[in-house]
Amino acid sequence: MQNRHVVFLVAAFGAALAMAPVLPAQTGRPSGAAKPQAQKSAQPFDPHELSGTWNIVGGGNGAATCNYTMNPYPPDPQCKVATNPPAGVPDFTYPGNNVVPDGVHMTAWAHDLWMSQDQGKGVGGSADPYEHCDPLGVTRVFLSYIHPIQIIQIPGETWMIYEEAHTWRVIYTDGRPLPKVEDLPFGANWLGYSVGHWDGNDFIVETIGQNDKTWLDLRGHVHSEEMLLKDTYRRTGHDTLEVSFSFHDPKAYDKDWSYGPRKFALKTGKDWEIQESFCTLEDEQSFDSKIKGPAEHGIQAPGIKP
Amino acid sequence: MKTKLVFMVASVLLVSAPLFAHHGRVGYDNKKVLTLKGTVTEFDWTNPHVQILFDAPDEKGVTQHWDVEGTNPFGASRAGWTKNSFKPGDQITITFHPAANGLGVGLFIGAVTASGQKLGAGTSGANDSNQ
Repeated sequence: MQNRHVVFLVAAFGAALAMAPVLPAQTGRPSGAAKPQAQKSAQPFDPHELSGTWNIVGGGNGAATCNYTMNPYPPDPQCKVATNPPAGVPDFTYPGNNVVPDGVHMTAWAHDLWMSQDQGKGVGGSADPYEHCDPLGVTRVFLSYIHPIQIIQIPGETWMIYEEAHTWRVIYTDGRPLPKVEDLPFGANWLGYSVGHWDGNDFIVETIGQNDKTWLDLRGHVHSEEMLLKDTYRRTGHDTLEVSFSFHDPKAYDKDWSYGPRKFALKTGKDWEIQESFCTLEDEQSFDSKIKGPAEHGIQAPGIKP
Repeated sequence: MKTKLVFMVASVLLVSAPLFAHHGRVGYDNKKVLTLKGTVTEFDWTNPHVQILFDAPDEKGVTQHWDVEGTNPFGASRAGWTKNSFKPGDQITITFHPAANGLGVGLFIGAVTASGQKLGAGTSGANDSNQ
């Protein structure tokens, strides 16, 4: 395994993150129009260098034909969404919305859990844990949303900073084995315990111990805390990263499956600095009263056209 | 009372970002698009979604108040928005998917600001998304 030494104040940064109180999210900073990314695909690159800011291509939940980062107005007629769901029905065919393929079935345990969450409606229902700002687990945190991810490699650790929900994840690369769930020092938690190693040019991350309160995707697919998740990162070019996943969760699903690869593009410049993006109940409740209540439940918001 | 607005309604393919963040988009009529000219009353540059609140006359000339959600501020910023893109009193043209139930909320597609800048939907947030 080769690790490039990346000189950041990671210790202080990590400590700051750990102690950061939940504050109302900062509003956006002034920014000019995002500048188009220069063509860098011909540049040489080290496939073992993953550090940088990456943004999912094709949208976390949009059609692969569009670059939703710069969705223009008037809309680009070439930018077409693959499916157009009828009103009132969320479309879970978009990439990132559904990571469980046809042919993989929930066990009775998983089905009961899924149905206990507003009849398995997923994000369109009332049981979305993110609605009350519960942490997002992996894979949802970065497949379902178009927020950038910053990867920071230092000796012995690889950090993944997800802008969505101000989430960070540390992957131990010092050769330690993946513990058993029962041996986790703090038990199962929201993002689990991760170790990583290189296999050729593939950085393979194994995670165990994500509690069963998180969803894999927007469809609301559940998992058990015994799930073994493997994400494989492969830098395919200077500006491109592919990430694939394999899921092993016999308590929740009748077979293992793989998902991906999903592509990520390297992003640079001030527009792509990771911003503070906490989910706060105050913001969520305000939004619900002004938008979600009227739109989804027909609740008249004060002052809005009846 | 649900007033039916008939302004430049067109059935188009969904070309805007799905805005399918964790709030979902089940309440909007994805096949209906409204484009209105109105006056901004408030601009919320906040998480989880920016909101443009504006007044616009309906087909009977009666002023109606709307609240249209966009993406999160960061996605919007990367698409050229700023916290000053909309200010109370601004005359704008705004295109959006209205709520299927007729209430005065909507899902942003695009707008022309008072300065003439064209703004798209930007990146998507959580299922909310545009996210």
